[in-house]
Amino acid sequence: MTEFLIEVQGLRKSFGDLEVLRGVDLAIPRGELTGLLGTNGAGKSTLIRCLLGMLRPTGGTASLLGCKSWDLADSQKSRLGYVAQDVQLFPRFRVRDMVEYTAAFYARWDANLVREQLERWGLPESKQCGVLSAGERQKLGIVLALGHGPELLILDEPAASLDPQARRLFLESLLQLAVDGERTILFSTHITSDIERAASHLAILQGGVVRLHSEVDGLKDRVKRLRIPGGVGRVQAEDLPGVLKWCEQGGVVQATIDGYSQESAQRLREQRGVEVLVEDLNLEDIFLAFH
Amino acid sequence: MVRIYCVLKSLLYLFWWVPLLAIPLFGVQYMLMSAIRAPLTVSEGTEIDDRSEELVGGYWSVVDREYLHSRNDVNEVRELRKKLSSAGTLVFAFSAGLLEQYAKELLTESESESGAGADIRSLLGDVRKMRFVNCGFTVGDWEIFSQLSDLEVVEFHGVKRTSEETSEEYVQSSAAALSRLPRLQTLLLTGESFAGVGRMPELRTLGLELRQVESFLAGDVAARFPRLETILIRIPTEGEVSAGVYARLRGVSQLREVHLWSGDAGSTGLLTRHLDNFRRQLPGLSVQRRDWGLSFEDKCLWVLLQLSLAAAAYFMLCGVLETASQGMNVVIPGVCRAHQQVLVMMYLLVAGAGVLLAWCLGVRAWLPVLAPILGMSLPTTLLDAIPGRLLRQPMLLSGSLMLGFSVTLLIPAALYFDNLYLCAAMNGDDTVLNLVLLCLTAGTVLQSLPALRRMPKHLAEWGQTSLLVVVSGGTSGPGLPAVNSSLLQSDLADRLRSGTAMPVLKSLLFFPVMAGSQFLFFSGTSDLAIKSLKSSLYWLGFLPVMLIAQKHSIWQMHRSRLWSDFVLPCSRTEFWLALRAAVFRDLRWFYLAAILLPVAVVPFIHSGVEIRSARSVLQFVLVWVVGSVGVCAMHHGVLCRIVAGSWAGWVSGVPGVATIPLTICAQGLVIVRGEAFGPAAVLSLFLFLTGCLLQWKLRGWLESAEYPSKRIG
Repeated sequence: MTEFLIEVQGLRKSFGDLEVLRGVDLAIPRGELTGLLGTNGAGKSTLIRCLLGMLRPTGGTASLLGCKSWDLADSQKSRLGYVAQDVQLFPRFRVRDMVEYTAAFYARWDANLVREQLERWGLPESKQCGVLSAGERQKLGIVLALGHGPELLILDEPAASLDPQARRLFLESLLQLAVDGERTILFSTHITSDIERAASHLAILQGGVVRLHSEVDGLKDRVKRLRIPGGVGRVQAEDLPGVLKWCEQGGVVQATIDGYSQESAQRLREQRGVEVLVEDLNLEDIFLAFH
Repeated sequence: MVRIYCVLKSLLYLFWWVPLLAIPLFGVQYMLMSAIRAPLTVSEGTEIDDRSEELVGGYWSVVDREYLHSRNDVNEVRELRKKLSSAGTLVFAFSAGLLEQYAKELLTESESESGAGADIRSLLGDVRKMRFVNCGFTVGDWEIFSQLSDLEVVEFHGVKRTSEETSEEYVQSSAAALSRLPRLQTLLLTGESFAGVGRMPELRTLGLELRQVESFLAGDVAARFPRLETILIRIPTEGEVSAGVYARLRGVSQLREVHLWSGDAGSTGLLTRHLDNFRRQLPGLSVQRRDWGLSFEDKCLWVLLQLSLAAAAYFMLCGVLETASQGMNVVIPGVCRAHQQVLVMMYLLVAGAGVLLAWCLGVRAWLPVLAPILGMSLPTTLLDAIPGRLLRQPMLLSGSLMLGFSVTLLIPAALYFDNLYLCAAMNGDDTVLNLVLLCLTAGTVLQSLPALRRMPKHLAEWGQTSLLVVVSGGTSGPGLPAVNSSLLQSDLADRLRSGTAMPVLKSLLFFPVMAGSQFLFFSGTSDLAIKSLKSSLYWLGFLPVMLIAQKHSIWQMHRSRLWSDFVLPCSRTEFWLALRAAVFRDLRWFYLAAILLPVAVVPFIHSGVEIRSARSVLQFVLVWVVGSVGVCAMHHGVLCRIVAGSWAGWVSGVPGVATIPLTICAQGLVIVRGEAFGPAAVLSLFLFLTGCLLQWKLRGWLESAEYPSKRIG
């Protein structure tokens, strides 16, 4: 039986009159590295904070590690790692003080791993947190979140402040962490290439609901763009399964579909007598197709 | 170049600490020197009898002394009567007509109780010794005094007549009064002229000023003072000894010893010359110099204490310099390393020596015993609160040094005061004060226990060879696993609080407390000191505002940290409760100071300011304390809600911050002035109830709090 470390059902969250989450359903099993993709203001951070028990849902349920998010106990939280969008540190602390401060809360703390990670990320232990750049703060936040070896790691736009080199390093780290299949990772982002590079699964949050939760590779196999020259007037949207986007230009029909298969393309050719050209899409195109 | 830079930067570090160091170092030393010099001109004579009869280790025993001041009420008189049931020494200070006033009040009180007439002798009959210090003496005083015929020791230090009496009247009344003391064995007379004193059959020791010798010893001295064996003569700083003085002394056939002393500490040469002259002129008598300084044993003890302080200062300097050098990873020549452990032990030794010294001196006061206990907790609290080795070291060092100075210098200094203000003020008989001090001590010890338990962790950071680590059974490895196991023993609140610790604040808070207590020591000595204290109190009034403002800003900063801290391994309830406790612990010294402020200030103001209300000090204190508790409870609740993000930040702005201390001060001002006691009492009750209500609701508010409470994308 699949063990879901994150389970969200019909989650709703409103701030006054503004309903940010409108019935989110999401289930992430153990070992999955999921990228949560959404535009700015889509509610990614709100969803994450509901998951962490910081915000009380207006409706629906959110569970983490088998426990209601609002009632997370210390045993669950000790298995949880979190990196905020804007990592806040104590300015007077040095990096080593910050590590020590965080370490003090956890019974298990891999000091060697933290030391290695600090070296790897180029963070001097003696450097004062107050003078760290946004990227360095983010790096330190990531290192601190890894120190106690969390089973579930939740990162809220962790790579937003990182330079390309650091972002690559970060994504490599994520892959290393997930390689044993025991660690579950959810990270939100609006950079599709990050998900393409690291995530095994993708969840797209749009309009307060999860429009898509799928394996990245499978998604690419499933979502294709079909170019049908001379298809205007001969091919209708109803002829294609799961049309996400439909465009007619210069007699050419361009359709992005979710649920592509060679059989369906072949069937279209045979039934409508048109030429069907199939194009692969990257995640950015797929993401845009869903909007 | 590196070394020059290193030394310069070290000096910068040192400079940063100079204000903290300089004031206790030089300020206390200066006051100590002033204090030591002062009694040489006034009250050496007070040691005459004490040395021979009741001294321990060369100092006074203060056990049987009662101090009478110019202001008193019925309760004081009643209390005085109780105290007089046991034999003791009465010390009168400063005020003319005081003896007469007391006698009247005692008699009135006695008559109102018994309904029958009483005389002053029956009421003060148990008193064998009296000392008058800088006292004006009226004819009425002399009349009362003459009734105390059982007196054995009387000392007049700088006693003077008032403007109401003529010189002749004064001399006659004083002579008549002194002549009626048949049991008098020791008499010291300085100040106004005394002459014509009649027969004193038991008088053995007589102390006089040089100018009085001829007139006082005129006539048949052998008949008037048949047992007179020792004369003490105070030599003035100017003038010569006349031949008449020698002649008078030769005329006292039973005289054995003549002791000379000078009122001026710097007149050693003058005294030596007079000693030679006296020995030449009075070959049959033993002429000695009376040195009222420390005994040899006392000097040894004093030197030891000074050496320990010097060593502590040296190690502290090393620590400060080492802090800088560690930061720069260089070695400063001549600065020893890793001496923090030694300093900790030294601190303990100094504190222990302070306690021993206090008890050896016979000081029954609470403070000398209390101070080390309070101090014991201070470095550990600091260590606990301050993150980072580099910050902990100088804090520990400065805290230790200040404690050392307070304990070792102020106690002896206090003992030098002729009226022993501190010993009198804290003689263990004041129930309210005892209760407060006991609570303070117990609270401090209790709060310091967890900190002490974490000492091994702090010490472990200083090196694996730490002796104390071994002694205390702590782990010696500085690695994180060891840190974890040690820190996890501390509760969540302390761990949360460690992130917001601000060492400067504790220093700032600690310093005025110490400075205030030091001022308090000296407030009994002169009007000037009292004025200084009052002005400093006004100035110190701004300090709480500054402290709270800083604390607010720190906790507001923590508010943004909660994004991360909230997912630390603890339940929601645990987290908010811990945060509530953390805020409290972070501000507890301020709260304690605010609550104890009335206890310290009201009696002081009560003694120096005309209060229009007939309420007792205890009532003032209680009303103010209740109000302060309420304000503190409200403040804590408000700050918790701000930290939890459920209240807007403007509440912690300047107006919000300033409201708290200003409310306390304004309320206190109204109360101590006694102008509106009733409304102030109602306000106090209101504040108290509101604070309680806020605290009662706080847990529910916090547990249901969302974080952050505003919408985030």
